[in-house]
Amino acid sequence: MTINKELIEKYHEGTCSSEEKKAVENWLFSDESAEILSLSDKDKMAYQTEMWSEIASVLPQKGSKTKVRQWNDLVFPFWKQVAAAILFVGTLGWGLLYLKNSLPVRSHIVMMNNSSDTMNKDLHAQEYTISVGPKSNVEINNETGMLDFCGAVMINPKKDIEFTLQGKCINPSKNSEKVILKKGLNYIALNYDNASNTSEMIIFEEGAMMGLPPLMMKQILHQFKI
Amino acid sequence: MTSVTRDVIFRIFYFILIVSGLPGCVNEKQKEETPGKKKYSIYAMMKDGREYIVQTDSLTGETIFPERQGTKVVPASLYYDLIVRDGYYYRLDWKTSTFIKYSVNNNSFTEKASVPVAGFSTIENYNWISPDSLMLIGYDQKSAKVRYAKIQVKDMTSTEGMVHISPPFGAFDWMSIGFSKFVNGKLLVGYAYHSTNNLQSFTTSDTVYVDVLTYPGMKAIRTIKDTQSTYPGGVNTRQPHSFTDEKGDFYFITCPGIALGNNPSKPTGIYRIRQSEEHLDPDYFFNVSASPIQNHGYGFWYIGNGKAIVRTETKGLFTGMKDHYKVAQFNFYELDLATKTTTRLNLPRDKGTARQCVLVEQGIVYITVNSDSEGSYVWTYNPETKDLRKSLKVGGNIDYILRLDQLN
Repeated sequence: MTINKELIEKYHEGTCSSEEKKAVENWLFSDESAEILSLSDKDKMAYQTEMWSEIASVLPQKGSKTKVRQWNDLVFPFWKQVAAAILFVGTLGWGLLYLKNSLPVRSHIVMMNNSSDTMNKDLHAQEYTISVGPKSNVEINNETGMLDFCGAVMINPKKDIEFTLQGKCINPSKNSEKVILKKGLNYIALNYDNASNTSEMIIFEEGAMMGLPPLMMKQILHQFKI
Repeated sequence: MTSVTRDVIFRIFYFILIVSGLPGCVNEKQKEETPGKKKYSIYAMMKDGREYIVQTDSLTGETIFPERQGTKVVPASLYYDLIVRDGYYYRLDWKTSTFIKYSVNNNSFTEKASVPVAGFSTIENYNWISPDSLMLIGYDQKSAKVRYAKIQVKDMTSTEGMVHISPPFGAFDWMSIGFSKFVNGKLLVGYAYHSTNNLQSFTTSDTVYVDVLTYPGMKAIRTIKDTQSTYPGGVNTRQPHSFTDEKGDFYFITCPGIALGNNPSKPTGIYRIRQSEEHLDPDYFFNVSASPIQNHGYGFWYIGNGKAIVRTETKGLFTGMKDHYKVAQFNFYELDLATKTTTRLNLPRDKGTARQCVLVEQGIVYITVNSDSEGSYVWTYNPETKDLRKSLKVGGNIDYILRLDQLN
């Protein structure tokens, strides 16, 4: 019996006769190639390509492969070796100096300023990811949990995390709020002017977005691709 | 690898490839094509943020539990701006500009069919042309154009085009479509313009605009302007803001309050377009904010015999948009459209900024209320006898009833 696409579909739908069923199972599990799959070379090629693209999609990308270098590549002329050595020692020295002077201060304060009119800028930290909206900025003190921001940010915590949020660009003393953000949820924080309250700091989980005016909601959905 | 082994592997992959493309492969339960025949659909959000649809034949039982009796809504951040008819739910996936049809089958919220709607990033207004034919209208900010799509919902096909309404001009950089109405083979579309500022604020023009358009050509014949209020209508996938009464007169509400137009110096008002007329009734404007209500309103439902319900916010109970949706501050008022009088329904204060919360069937009005102190209930109201009573309780870990829809 010829095995073709239609017969396999029938088999899956459970509408095969017992003879057809047996033929499909034999074809599928047998080591022998007695039943030839009824496909043209062109179709076979197309299916092979499709299968490969599905398989390839779960394989590591090409770029991540370690490139095996030829020994010849590493044999530089003498002047290049000297230059490389100077560069290496120089970089190491500067790096150590930088670490010594800056690291203790910088390690718990993270800042990002996004001056773009349209694009977001992402800040990846160990415990959270923050997407900083256009014309917005953020400053986080990881020691005190103080998160100052101006504009619009989306926060995605990787664990339950407590922040004191402060909308620093408008009336910061009135706009401070301690919040516990839950792991895996998406939160939007906004400094928002409206006719009822001209300096509001809003923080909400994305599921509560329908509480916003439709125009604001649309802008946020589209800007942060929610 | 021997050619025999290679052939076997190829056969197995080929089998999986074909079978995985078949609709029946996903889940045997999904084979059922027709949706359930329940009469009503309740869309609920629980305190943990999960959302459920629970379908029921009665709104007068004792208690219904969405988590136990309902179906979890997926994807999680679906929101509830839906179109519901004849057992099906419809929504737009804005990321892919795809219009999707769902039903609830065997306790699963299942995609039934979908159709691409080019250029659609939002649906602001839908209008059933016939039971099988649906028109969608939305402003696409990327192209600065108003677009329409006509969907045949049985076979889910779509035809699309532009609605020739003037795009935002001058200081305005956005616009909102608030209603559409077929009259004398033409289409009336209400809208307003906005100025926005980097997600930090926006405001709305001081003017209500209504365009009279050719149909199906969608070319503007004339533009009507009125400055008594602004932001005509609203996004009707959230809740309705217009209707046609028994006489064929069309009414729409304007929503300049902070939750929609954010131009609250203008009053919430009601306009009328008389049957077969193509202009605003110059003798009719119902200033809701200047009435004893003294607040802005959103959401407008017809309950028959010249009466309507409006849902109104309460200033002083909220501080801004940060708490507008979560404070129980909303009242329901019955309006007499002819005499322009208002009567507050004696319901607990309700929360949730925009909700499809009123349903009328055979003269009985079903109203859902989310009260912090009294719980979430469907209430029944008889406008003839004024009898208002608690009916079906929505129980469990409920935070909001977000929609009440008639399914069949």
